Amino acid sequence: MCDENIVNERTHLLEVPEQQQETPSPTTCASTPPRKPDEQSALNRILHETATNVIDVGALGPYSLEAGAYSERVRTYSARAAAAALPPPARARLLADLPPALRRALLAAPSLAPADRDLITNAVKKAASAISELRVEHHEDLVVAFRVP
Amino acid sequence: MEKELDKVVEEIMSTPNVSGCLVADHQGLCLASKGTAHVDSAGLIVALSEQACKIQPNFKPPTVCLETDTKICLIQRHGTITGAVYKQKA
Repeated sequence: MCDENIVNERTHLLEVPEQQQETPSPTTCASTPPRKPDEQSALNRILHETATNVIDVGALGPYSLEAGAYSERVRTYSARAAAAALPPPARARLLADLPPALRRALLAAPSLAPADRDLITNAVKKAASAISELRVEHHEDLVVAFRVP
Repeated sequence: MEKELDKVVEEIMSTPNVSGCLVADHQGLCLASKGTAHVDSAGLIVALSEQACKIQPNFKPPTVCLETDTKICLIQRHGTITGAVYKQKA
């Protein structure tokens, strides 16, 4: 049975040699740091991995398309854009302009019948005065004492 | 406590050709709505009347009239209260 190959909660995250774990130094350090060469090699490994994965944009230098490549791309993109044409935007349906003749007739006609104007004016006046008479009707106490011996 | 306001709204609704009535305060809160007037339109109505008042600020509040072929909506402000009446065109 080879327990060392199974990864569980007891596997060590850092590759620390066995001798150091079995004999915790009673002197000063609470944690057991890896030996200096291991730390150095770990740092080098991380550095090397980062260097291979990182893309240094600043070091790329000035980049420009050649004239031929540029015009070729313009052609390709405009062809694709034309092929994927969007449907024309839906026309607004809420308010539409009237034809000029109808418009002139409407604007020349009397705007608001005096009866309607009186209706709304009286209605709003009465509503305003009714609202000014809004009162709270006190029916019962809000704070009550209960379970008081 | 709104009995008076309800009475006024009922009176407006009983007027011939009136199909809806709405009353809102200066912040767009709907205080009363009846008939075809929708509660949610209170904010819009107050905003419309506010903008209309700015056209001639020194005059008394104007009446805004929204018209279609068959109906009209009259909006007017009085103090802090804005009222709207929906009625059928005679």
